[in-house]
Amino acid sequence: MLILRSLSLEPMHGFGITRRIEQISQGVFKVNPGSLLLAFQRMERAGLIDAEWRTSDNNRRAKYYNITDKGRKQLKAETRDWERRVAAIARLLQA
Amino acid sequence: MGLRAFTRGLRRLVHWDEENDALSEEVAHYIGLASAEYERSGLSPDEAMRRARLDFGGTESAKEAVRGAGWDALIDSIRRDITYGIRALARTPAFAIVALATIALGIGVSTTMFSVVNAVLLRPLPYHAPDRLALVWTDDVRRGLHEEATAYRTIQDWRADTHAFDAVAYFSTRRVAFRTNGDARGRTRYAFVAGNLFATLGVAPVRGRVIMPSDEENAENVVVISYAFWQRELGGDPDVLNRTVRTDDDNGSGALRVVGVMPPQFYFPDTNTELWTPATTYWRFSRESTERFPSWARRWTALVRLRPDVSFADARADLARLGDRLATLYPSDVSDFPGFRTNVVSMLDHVTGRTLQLALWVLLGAVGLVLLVACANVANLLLARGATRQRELALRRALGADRGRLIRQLLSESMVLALGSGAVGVVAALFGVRVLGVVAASRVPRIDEITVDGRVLMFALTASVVAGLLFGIMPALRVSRADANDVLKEGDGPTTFGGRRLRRTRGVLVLAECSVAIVLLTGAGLLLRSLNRVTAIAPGFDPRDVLVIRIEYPSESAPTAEERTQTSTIAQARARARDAREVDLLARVKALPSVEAVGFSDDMFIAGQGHQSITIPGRAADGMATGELNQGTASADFFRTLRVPLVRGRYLSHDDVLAKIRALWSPVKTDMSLADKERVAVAEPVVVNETFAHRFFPGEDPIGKRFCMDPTNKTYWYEIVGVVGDMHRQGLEHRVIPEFFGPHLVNPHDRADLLVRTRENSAAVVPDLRRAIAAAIPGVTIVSVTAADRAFSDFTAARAFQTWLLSGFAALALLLAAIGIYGVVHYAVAERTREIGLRVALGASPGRLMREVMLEGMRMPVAGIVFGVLVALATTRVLSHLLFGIGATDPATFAGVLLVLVVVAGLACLLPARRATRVDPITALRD
Repeated sequence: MLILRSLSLEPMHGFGITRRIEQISQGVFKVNPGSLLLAFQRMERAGLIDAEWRTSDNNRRAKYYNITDKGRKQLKAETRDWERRVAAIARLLQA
Repeated sequence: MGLRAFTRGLRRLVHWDEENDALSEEVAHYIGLASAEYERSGLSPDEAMRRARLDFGGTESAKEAVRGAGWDALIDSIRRDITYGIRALARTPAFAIVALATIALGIGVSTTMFSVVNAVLLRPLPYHAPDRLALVWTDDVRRGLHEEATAYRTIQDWRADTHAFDAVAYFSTRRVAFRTNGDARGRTRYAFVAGNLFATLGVAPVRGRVIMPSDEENAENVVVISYAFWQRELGGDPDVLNRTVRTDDDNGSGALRVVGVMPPQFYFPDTNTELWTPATTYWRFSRESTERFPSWARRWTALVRLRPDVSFADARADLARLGDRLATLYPSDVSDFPGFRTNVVSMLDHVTGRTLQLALWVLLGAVGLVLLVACANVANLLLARGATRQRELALRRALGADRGRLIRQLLSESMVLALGSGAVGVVAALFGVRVLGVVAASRVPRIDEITVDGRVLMFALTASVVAGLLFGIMPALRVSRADANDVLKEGDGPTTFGGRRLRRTRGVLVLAECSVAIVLLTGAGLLLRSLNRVTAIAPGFDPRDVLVIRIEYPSESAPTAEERTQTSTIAQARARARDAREVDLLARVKALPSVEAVGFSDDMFIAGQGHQSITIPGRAADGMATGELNQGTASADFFRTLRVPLVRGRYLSHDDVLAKIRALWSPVKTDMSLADKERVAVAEPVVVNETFAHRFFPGEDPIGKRFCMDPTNKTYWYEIVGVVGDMHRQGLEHRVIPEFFGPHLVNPHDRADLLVRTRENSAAVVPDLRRAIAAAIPGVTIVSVTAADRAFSDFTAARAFQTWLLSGFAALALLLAAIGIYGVVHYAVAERTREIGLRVALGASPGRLMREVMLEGMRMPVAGIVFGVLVALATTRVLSHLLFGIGATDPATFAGVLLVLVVVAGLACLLPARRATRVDPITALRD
């Protein structure tokens, strides 16, 4: 979900996603690069993201990932699901 | 698995290296960016790179994790197992070659045999839904003749009053001389068929149309021809339709118009039948179709198509029910009428024959058993090899491979071996199929169409995989069980891996091999003894140096109505002229320098036999009607040529021909009493065989006795002038049936066998013979020239073929079993070298050691033999229809087979046992 959320703003390469997640979560989430690559492959095969080779800012070839329509749908569903859970837990904690 | 996951996986499988490079690049890029960031925060480039790598974790393990995910990774690991398997096999080429050859042999013979079964039994017949088609015969239970023809009227009853069939058609075949409106003339078989016969078969013609119900109703003079006939006699003429074919058997109304050509693969009811014409064009159809009982009206065979929901048992029950009703409705007034019982024979059974089907399944089972023994042997080899590979496997285990992984590895090796063997086996089968096709060509129907097709390849593949599992799984389970600790601890000495457990496993394999071998040997032994019994029978004549020349006389002018009544003097004169021509021919042949004797018969190796009833004055008619009976003809020197002994009376002479002509045209009035008829009749002189004499004149002198074959009018009489020895003219396996021989007198368009005994090399005289025959009878056709002994041995050829094939398979199984025993005992001795050396050093006598090894080695084979004998006793019953003169549990065969296997097993034990006695204690203990 976090990867999809990151990609929903703009296409990115692996390191960019790591950084983005770490920054936004303010260091709460540390991304294991190995797991990240595995996740990319799984999500690509599931059709949630697309990948293409592009020249990056510093003139090196990099693999950029982009979210697909199916990915957006999945993100929406997961986000909704997540919010429901959080809300439920929050209610439980306040009760 | 989604389509995308599949295509991505496929892409990675195909472009494995490219994808790997891409992954590495991605990782490198990632680390590059990370280290650049560290650099920007003020670290030295080296330190930045180190930190970046540290953050990332193991790059290789990360890559491995990515590669290990997805379905394609599994495939890749199997691919790697296979490559590893090939490499492992290549490291031990001797083992690989022996194992490969063993299994390839098994798969080769299995596949060859399966090709035969496929060609003969599994390939569908060339009809629509052929498994619903059957022939219905009259079952003559009283005489044990199960495929008798039926009267048209009875078949009409079947058609009207049964519920089991979609269609009931009928047909009758005859030989015929034909002439086309081109120049072609010759002879073939043709069939009178019902109008719905082709519709029942459901086959479309390649040209024109088939025979239709309207053709039958209107007795249209039309004919449908076979593809072969079209090509051969009409030159494949594209405008073949409406050409004409004349036969000498048409209804006098002229030529038959060709209306259709059948496809090349079509045949019905056999491959010899090439013309089909409406039943109603048969010139006696209207006369015969009104009768139910006389033998001359029983001409037809029914072809039925079972309804889709009806089983063969239902169909039989349906016909039996109707038969019972017909029997009460129509009591027979003819003594030889067989009744209304029926015999339903599926089309496949009709084409291939039950015995052949049984033989083929037995042979296929036999090769399956050979393959099984081959598998047991290779399993044994794998176990032995597993023992030497313990260290390698233990090491892999120590490095983290789990047991499942090891089993998969070992099984992959077996599969590589099995599939490789399968490939070699298929190549061998391609060869074997060609050899079998040639060897069995004339003995097995449909075998000419034998090929290695998709189904055969599927069989070979399945057999390979099953074999691979069979010989691979048990060793894989056993070998992979080894405890890494134990093995690695042991160090360099010869490993004693597995110990007793392994030895027991190998012993069980040997037991199984011996059991299978004994079952096969018993089967082969029974067939061999049957073959022996058959060939030991004296044929009753001397077929050596005798040529059988089948000739067909030219058509004279078509028989006129007068000749058909057989009363005119013209016909008599014609008969005398034909006889004179015959005498001339015999004289010309006899004059040839190397010809010793020459004789004539209507049919040397009787193709079919008549079942007329015989009337002997003073006997009950019913008693006489039973049993098969053959009526043949013989010229004066026929018996001398074949060296058939005269038992009583005299041989036939040429004067007897004249007597026969007189008899043929001397009418006896039908209203006389039987005794008067016998007295006044001019009888045809005949010679009978001994079986005839014993059967009809037991304890009497048959010379001078008269009998009659015509059940209704009793106007034509025979008088016995001599008794000759029995001849096995239908092959040795057939019981000799009662026969009587009249003087040889041909009819126009008859065929006959000229028998020529030559002094020396019979082949050299053939051209002279051909010239002499052609000179004596202008327009004669020489159909075939065969050596009598060759033709005679053809009768037993199919049996010999099956027997030698099964014997070959049994020998193969025996050899493999012997190798198996040898291997196990050899290994056991090698394993105990140290112990034996010690005992020799302590003074054990060689004899004692040898006895011990032998006893130990023979235990499993003996157990296998005992078990095998029990299995054989229970299973050889399936062979009983293939046996001759012995029972399925023939004690002599069993004893012989037992002896053979004990001796072979003993020898296989003895060789390694002798090695045990030669162990040098010093070297054994030092090693």
